[in-house]
Amino acid sequence: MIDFKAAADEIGISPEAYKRLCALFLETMKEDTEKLVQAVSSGSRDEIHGSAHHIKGAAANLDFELLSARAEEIQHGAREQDMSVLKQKVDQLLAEYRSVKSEIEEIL
Amino acid sequence: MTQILVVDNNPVVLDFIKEVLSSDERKVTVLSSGLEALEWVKHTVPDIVFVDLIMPQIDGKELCALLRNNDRTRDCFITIISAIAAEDRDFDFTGLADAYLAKIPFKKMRGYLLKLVDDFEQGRTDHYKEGIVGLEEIYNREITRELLFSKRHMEMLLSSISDGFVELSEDGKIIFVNDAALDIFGIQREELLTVYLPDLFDPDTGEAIKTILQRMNGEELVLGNEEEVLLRDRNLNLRFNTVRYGEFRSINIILQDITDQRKAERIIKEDLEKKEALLKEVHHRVKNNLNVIASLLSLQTSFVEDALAKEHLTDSKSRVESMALIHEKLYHTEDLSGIYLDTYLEDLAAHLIDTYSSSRHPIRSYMKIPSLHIKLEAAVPLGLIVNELITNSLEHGLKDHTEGKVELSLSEDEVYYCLTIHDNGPGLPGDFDLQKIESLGLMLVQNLCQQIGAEFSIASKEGTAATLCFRKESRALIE
Repeated sequence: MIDFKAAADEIGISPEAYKRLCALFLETMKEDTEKLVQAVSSGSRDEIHGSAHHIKGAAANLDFELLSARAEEIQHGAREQDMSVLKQKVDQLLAEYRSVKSEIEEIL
Repeated sequence: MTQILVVDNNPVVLDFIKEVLSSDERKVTVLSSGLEALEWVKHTVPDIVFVDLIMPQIDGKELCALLRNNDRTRDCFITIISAIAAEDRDFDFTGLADAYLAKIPFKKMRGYLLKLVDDFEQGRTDHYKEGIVGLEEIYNREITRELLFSKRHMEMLLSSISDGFVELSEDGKIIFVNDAALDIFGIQREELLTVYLPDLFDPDTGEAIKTILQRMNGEELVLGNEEEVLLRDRNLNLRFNTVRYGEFRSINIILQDITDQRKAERIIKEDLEKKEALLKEVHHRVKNNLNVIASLLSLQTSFVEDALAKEHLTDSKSRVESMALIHEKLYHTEDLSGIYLDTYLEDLAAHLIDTYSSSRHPIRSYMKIPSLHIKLEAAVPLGLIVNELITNSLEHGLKDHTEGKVELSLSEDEVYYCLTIHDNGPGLPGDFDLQKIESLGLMLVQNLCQQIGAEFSIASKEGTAATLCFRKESRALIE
């Protein structure tokens, strides 16, 4: 479970502001995850790298460390790893994102 | 009160910075694009501006340069905030901005943001010129560095081309111009960016550009080919194309300065008009001279007693007149390369009937000739051929006929055009043999047919029918 109050304190903003940022985060992540899935199905390694990099930063901003770590793993392997491995990692990232999303939706 | 402006296309970052920096003493305004920022600074001067580097339309570096060159915002404290700080570690930002802050996770970035604004308010900003703040929190990313290099490389290429290149936002505002376009517009880059393109032209051209911008549907649209597009005494050709990348859409325009080309076209056109006028004058004089010869032959005829000699002189006169008629047709037409067969043959037949028929034996002519265009080099021999054949009908076949008629018709099949001159006279003599004929007229006809590649035949068929057939593929003859 994400400790929203602790995360807000860690960043140094109010829990209300943190909730607002989380809501905006979900809006931007919808497009970012779609782009990542699209990049994996088209086999575009540059786009996989770019989308994963974006998700990594966006998740780290709000302290979603596991999600950020999953994206970083994909970003690092984007150039040389086998596509089937990357696809597996994207599935793991999406599972983590769904978990974060449902937790955010609970507090909104 | 410290006025702070934040420009970034990421809504999460905008909301975060506003949350962190807003207070009773600090008013924070957040905007999501360079275009909005340039509009905003027209009425408000911020103390500090945070600018994200990677943005669609006008990117961060362009925006910083525009703010630096704008009298109202020249002295603002401009801070770049960017997620590509690691790749930019060698970039000398001091010409564009007063500080450069790396985009790092919010929990670390918050402190840097607050300290920077605090330092500004306390007048302690000199050290920010020394390097990127927060760089130690991130690591280098080689691939992003490659992409950045590629972007800068493209910008340099666009700057080096001789045609103007302009990029517009979806609503028609200029977001990128290369050096050649600056030269064409004659306006500084900072004054040109964010300007609505149609406003740079005269009202008519502006309306034409607005129409094109509304019609853009993925295909290239061109302005300046048919209509004249003038800007600062220069003729321009504008080619509009749409670019889509994900949700981003922009309009690219290539501006070609075609002033020299238009000038050359005008000179060629004027030159051509002079030559056409001269050529018409030549045809006019040739026609006049041929008519003088025909008049001399006519005069000579009145002094000749011998009937045969009179006939020969009259024949020669009509040959000369058939040629004069062609030159007369030529100087009355727009196209000097040839004449129209129908009107020429109609006039020729009427003239010959007028010459050879009498009121006692009126002769009528019938024409079934389509409006085919015939080249000059074939028109003169063909005119002489038809002259001979009609003259033969009038002088021999229909001489004493009370209801004589001559019919000219043109038929065609897949290979040939066939021109037939048919009279309703008694037909050819029973012993007629074209190969043994000694008539000057028919000898002329055969020679001229050879000259234009036509096959000639003559036969009795309810009168006399003379036919010349030429191949459709002989383009010199009919087009």
